[in-house]
Amino acid sequence: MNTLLSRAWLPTLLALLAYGFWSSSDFTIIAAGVAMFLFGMLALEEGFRAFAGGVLDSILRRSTDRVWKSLLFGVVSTTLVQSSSLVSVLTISFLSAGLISLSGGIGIIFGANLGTTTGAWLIAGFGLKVSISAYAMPLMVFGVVLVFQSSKRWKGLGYILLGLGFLFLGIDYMKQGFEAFKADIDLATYALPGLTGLLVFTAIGIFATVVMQSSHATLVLILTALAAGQITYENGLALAIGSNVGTTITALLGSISANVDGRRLAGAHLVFNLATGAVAIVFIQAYIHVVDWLSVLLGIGVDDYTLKLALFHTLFNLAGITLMLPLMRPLEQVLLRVIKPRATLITQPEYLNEATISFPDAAIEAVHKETIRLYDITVGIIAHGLSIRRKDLFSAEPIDSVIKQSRRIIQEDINEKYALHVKNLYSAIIEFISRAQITANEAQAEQLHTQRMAGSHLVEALKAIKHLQKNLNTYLRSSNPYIQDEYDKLRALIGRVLREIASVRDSTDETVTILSFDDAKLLLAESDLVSSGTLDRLIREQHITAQMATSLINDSGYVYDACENLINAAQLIFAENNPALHAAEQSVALGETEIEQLAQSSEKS
Amino acid sequence: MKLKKALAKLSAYLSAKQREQLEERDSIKKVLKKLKTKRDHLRKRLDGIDDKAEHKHLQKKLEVVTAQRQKGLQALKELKSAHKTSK
Repeated sequence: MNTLLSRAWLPTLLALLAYGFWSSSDFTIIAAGVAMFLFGMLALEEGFRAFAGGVLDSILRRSTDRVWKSLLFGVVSTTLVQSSSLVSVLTISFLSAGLISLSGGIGIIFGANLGTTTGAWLIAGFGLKVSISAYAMPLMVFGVVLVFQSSKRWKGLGYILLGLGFLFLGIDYMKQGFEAFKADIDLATYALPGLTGLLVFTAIGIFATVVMQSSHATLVLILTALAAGQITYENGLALAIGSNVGTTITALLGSISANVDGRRLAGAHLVFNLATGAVAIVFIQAYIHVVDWLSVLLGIGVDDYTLKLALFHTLFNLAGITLMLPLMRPLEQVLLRVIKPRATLITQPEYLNEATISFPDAAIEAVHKETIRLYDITVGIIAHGLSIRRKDLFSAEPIDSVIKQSRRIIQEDINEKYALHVKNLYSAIIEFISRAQITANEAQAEQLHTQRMAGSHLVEALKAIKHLQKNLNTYLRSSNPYIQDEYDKLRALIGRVLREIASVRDSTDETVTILSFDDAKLLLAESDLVSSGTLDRLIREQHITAQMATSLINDSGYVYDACENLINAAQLIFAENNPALHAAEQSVALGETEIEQLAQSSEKS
Repeated sequence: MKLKKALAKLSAYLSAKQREQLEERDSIKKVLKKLKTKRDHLRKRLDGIDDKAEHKHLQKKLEVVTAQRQKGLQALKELKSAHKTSK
């Protein structure tokens, strides 16, 4: 049912969008704005990823490792760029790229809410309004130029500028698209007294900010309406509360393309602004008194609603921070519990049952089954990474002909597959083992450790295939038959190793033991491209270029790594259960030197 | 009294060691038996095969089994001599 729904979802969305484009030009502009905004978010994440582990990483970490630091970071950055929405979406992309922690992100968001109130002071004091959309075009041009640079850092910076450009442009397009609705907002028609008026104007404030994509623009609207006498001072305050809540829409929009932490942060933003808004509505009279009292102290005139509004804006956000700061940790815990990774996409453990954790033998069995599952998933990704279909890889047909027939490149995103199907499962296995080890004896702990090692080998094998994939996909399309042939040999080698492992695993024949993995090791030793002289011959006879040769040397290294790790993992996973027999098999298994000697003797013959 | 206790401990230790060695020998013998069956099986298959690549593939497997058996036999020999000296 779920699959059916997810299959029907995309065509329905596309059809609705197409209908929208056909029926309304405003809708087209708004949708284009949303698309640009989301593309900007993706580009930003890509850019920040280039700096992960570097200077930006350490600066951000150091600036957000304490609550007060992250608050200050939010206040200062929002004051500088004059857009809490921009700071929120940037924080979401920092978080998605793993540059900051969730609690650090929440601190920034809290700070950004205070920082954005400086905008009200600027508008009130100087009539100033910083327009960020004017920078969109130059940012995009600079961004594209930098994206074409070979340096990772410049490229990353290029993506950041390009992302910012698209963000600004997207927001601008959304604003333009909603201009049609703005004309319909006549505040005088909604002027109501008491609590009803307060709630209605808060709702209008939310709506106006969502429509105009800027709390600053709403603020200008409030000031104009106040000056024209369209609304009362109290209604103006309600509009300001609404605009504060409405500003979260940008962060919510930004979280669509973000990972689970990004969505959690958007959730924190929404909770903060809703809570602050609710408190302000409940205690509105108290706020009015405090604002009046402070206005007298600061020398603000009784009728100077502009400055009083700015004061109110600052005051209620400050109150929100004071209220929410002690609740920051509990809020983080709730968000972690409520907002979970998209379960349908991520592979979850099937055997790691809580009930088995206190029974070491049952826990070992559960971990073993889950590790076998991890092996199968990894092998599936590896097969696709080599552009071979899994069922072909394990068919009865000779591996060479399977390779020759598998010419169509399978665009497997190994990073994505790793994140979705391997990482979560492997992490769950590691966590389960750590907890199960508490009740396990020495021998049982050793068995658990073995399975953990197997998982580590599988991840290493997958990494090696990821490195191989780029050149493999290039040379599989090459018009040079020699390089194509060499890469086919590399694919065949991994295929043979996987088949050897499968034959050991599936065999009911008692004579097939883990000692059979020595066959695969010999296969690996014999396939050394450099020592066999194949590479020299190909260069000498000018069948391949020196660049191709270096790629081939590097990639054959990755292939050996992958094969070795696969064999090591299989040895640990499919080993003999009886410890004495296992030890005997290990003492009989051939060592590296013995394998080398065998490979050399078969070369001579 | 102390000497008696120490001697008893030593004899228990030695017998445990001997038992371990015997277990090890048995396990290696089992593995060698498996390898022998595998070797005979491979030889039989080699006799009836025409395909060159498959022949080469099986020949290599046979070489591996032979090397493993040699290693196992050597280990068994060493264990036997160790057992004799410990007696």
